[in-house]
Amino acid sequence: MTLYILLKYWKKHVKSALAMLFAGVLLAAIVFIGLAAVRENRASSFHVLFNNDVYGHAEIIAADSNDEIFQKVTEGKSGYNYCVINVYGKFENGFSYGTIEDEQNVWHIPLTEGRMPETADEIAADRGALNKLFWAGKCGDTITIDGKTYTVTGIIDEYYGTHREGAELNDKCVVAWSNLPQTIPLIFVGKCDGEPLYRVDMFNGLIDPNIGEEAYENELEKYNGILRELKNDGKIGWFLTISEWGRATNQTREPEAAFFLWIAFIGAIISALSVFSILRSIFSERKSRIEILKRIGMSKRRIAMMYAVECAVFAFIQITLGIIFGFSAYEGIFKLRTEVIGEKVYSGLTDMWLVTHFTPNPFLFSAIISATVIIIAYILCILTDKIQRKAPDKNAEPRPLSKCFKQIFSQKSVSATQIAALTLICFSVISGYLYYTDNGKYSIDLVSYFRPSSNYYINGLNMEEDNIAEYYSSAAPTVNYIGEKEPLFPFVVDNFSAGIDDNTANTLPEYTFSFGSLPQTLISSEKRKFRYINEIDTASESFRQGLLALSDEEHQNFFDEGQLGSEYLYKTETRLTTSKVIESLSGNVTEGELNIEKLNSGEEIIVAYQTIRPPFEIGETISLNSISAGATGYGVGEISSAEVKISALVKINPEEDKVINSVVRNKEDYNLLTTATGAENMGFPCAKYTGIYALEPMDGGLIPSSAQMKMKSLAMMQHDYLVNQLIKYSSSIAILLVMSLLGFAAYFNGIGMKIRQKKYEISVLRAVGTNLKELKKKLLLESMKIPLISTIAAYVLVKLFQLMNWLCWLIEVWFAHTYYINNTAPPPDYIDAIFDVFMDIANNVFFEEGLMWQANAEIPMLILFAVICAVTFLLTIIALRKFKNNIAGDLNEGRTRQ
Amino acid sequence: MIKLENLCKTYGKDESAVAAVNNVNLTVNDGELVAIIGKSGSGKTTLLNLIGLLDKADEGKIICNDNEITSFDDNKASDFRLNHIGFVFQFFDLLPELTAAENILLPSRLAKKKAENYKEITESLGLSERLNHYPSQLSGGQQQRVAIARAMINDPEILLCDEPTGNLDEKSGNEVMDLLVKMNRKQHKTIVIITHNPEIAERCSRTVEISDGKIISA
Repeated sequence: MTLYILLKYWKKHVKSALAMLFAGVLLAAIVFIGLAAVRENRASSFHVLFNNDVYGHAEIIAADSNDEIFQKVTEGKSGYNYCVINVYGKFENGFSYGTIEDEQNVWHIPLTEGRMPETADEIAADRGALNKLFWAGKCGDTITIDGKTYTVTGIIDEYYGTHREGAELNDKCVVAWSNLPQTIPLIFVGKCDGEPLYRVDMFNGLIDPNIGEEAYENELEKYNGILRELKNDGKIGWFLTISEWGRATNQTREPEAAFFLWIAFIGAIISALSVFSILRSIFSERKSRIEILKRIGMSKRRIAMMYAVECAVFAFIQITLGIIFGFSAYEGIFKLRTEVIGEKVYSGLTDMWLVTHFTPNPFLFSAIISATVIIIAYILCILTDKIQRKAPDKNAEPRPLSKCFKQIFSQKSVSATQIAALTLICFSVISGYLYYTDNGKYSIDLVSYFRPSSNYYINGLNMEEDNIAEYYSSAAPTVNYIGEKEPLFPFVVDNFSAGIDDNTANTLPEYTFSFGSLPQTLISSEKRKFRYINEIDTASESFRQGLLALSDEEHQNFFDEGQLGSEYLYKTETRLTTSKVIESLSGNVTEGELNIEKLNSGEEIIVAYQTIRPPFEIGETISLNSISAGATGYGVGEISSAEVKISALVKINPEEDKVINSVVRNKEDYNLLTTATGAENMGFPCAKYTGIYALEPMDGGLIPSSAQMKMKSLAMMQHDYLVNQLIKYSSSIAILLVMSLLGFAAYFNGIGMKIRQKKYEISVLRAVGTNLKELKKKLLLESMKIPLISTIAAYVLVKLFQLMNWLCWLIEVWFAHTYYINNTAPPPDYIDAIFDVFMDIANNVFFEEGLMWQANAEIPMLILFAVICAVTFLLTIIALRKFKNNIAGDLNEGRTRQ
Repeated sequence: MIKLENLCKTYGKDESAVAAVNNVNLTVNDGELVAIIGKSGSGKTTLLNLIGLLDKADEGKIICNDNEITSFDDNKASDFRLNHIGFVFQFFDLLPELTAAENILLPSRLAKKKAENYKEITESLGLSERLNHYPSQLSGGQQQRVAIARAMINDPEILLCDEPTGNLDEKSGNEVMDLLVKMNRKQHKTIVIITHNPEIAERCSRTVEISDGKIISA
């Protein structure tokens, strides 16, 4: 009988049933998708950790070994990762550096930027090590370590050196584990000659943690046995086995899991609210029916049974359909991302023990949550049904017409649901947009603050902002340095062969800027020039002895009277650029004249500066020198000297023309400037252009292959960046989109439902003479209130969210700064610089454009508001179209529902 | 005066089509109290709905006070219903969200008129003590009286009543009928009542009998 009554009722109220099921199915689906995304995140990070090993962990490390260890350990195994590091360099009294056997196999050493070094003058180093060397640059910049200058090609994630169990980052720029006699470097060079101090073999991924903890530990012990045997036989020096079990089961490195759970939570709330409001409407609609049933003798127990059966049926249908829908949606999105976009992710619907054991089961939890929501909704509806209308106030005046209309069309539970749903959706969408905008990334890296990280930066220029379409570059001449204090004594290693000369540069298009540099040039003077910069201290006896020891035989008299070493020496870089560029500086000449012919002949030279007038007179002759390294690579090998006349002073404003500034200026107060031909005619080696900026795409064939130039194309970088962003964010965007659409569907569903439920009232109003047009207008205005209230509420929440993020960022920056100061001993000016940066941030950054907490939320909010209003308007109009001329028919239908 | 000329209304299509009103011609003069009687399904309510512009005729004309109201669009029809017709429904059709007073005053507020006869109507209908009650807190007779008051508040020339006593007990029904007769005599309202109660029909000045959508006697 109970089922019969229920069937009869729902047959007549199919639309309400569908609305209820829709909300419930949404709920189950959203929860399912959210939890599947959490599992996916864990599966993907696990695969990355153990197959690609971004963070450089190893299960086995063995030193002083040979190939036999490889055979013994890897017998029959596949799917593992292996790397050999040869350790060179100083040890105990300085830092240790090494090379990797296979530069391409960088799974082991995680890079946050750039690549591993390939040539002898290139270096990649751990960020922590670089901080200890007080180096705050970025890839492409140079660093001097132990008197040798390298180009930094890669920066290693400091996680590698500091966060491993038992590891410590020490002053020697190495990773030290307790009980080990030797260490693993954090600085890597491209090539090293000679025998390494020792070799380290590193293995990872030998044991699959999915076999369970006990089996994993047993396997590890087996390897311990193998290595112990090898050590006893003297075939390896020392070894270490590290259990990755803790890391495999560690859930902390899943930042995106929280994001998906948050989205799923919001979606679930919205759907749950929808379920409740629809059920509430249904309950009030059939209140009179229940009363009739009670009057004809149906007991409360039977009515309760009826509700229970109805609840169970709805729950079953919702859960079943919701899981099917959620599963299909997730699988569909997953296939799209992996097969179409090409994203490398691992499905959350996996049976991997390490995933399923540590994350909630999407099937089970979506069923539980869905069932719980509908049961709670039923209980709440039954309880609220008992609330009686309060007794009328006898003295109350009739309400005005506008309030009457408001009362007639008021559906508080549905409106509250819609407002809550829309507010949450708008807040999530805008927050997600802020977080994922290009400038929205949260960073406490103070180095990044100095030079904001971007894919388009080269030599301090932003290719996008400074309109550089292509950048060609070759390796610069190698310059070595020695000395006890800055500025160090430079020696160019003159077997340099890359770059282009003026003959080639002059054939390149007008929109190109070719440039090079001789960083080793020295101005010499018999008398001390107090206003010259960078005087090299050669007075120290230990320095002199050291230099002579490294110099070739014929220059043992370098410091003797009449020799270059007896003079005062000033390190003054000579920048090189083409005559075309120099001619364009004619408007910047403050003193003297530009004479290209004499520049090219090597007779004259220009001085370029920014603000303070350089200490040279026009027409003054200076002695310019360059020392080529001797056999040792450091001492005096050959000296090139030229007497050149200062022909002009050229002032460059870096803000007015960044490209020209980058081409002709360095960071010193002044530098010399001439053409490559001029420098060559002065007798200086390595006088070539090693960089070309092209403001438009150029035919790369114009550059000879002997120049060994590599090209960076802005268009390609932008394209790669977009693709990478798309791949990186596609999963989040796809899930966010689905959740948003589902949430919006819940909101828009409410619009039609409201109109349907007020059909009777609308018919009565029309019957007493209310104009349909007027009614439509009132209903439209009523429905527009909801997007308005929701977007205002969402906007307030977004602003609070931005404020909160800014405050948290400030606090973290302060703590990072304080920790750094307390735990290291940076130079005083570094501390002052950091403090100034911090105060600048505290005072100004909140208003600085582009940072997440000040990223523009107004425009996206307005766009979202406009879209929601437009769709609300449209759906309301569509819902009202059903009201035509048959008022009597509508009345009849409405009476039946009442 | 209300004049119906060749009025037709059909529901459904093709084989399932039913002529609810089939070529009806009828005239109701000003100040008449007319009862329309007929069996269930004879087309009485449809006829009343057509006169009250709650439905649109398929064919024919309705002329009311020299206005051909069948050609009115929705705006004009609403306006006409608001100012010239009062409709009393069998099931009262009061808005449950509004009090009795608010239900009664609704048409006058919609017409932006001052309800000068509000007190008189509510007193004469015995509703003074119930004005701030919601429909669910009123008895059937009280609800019907509220519906009558609502129909009269704009002082319409025509009152259309669809089985006004159909849901009432005998006493309440007689009270309602007394009211309607009084309105007809004292205020000369043209009143058309649908009923299947012959006693009600006897109290009217004229009886029109309808069967299968056709007027049998007028």
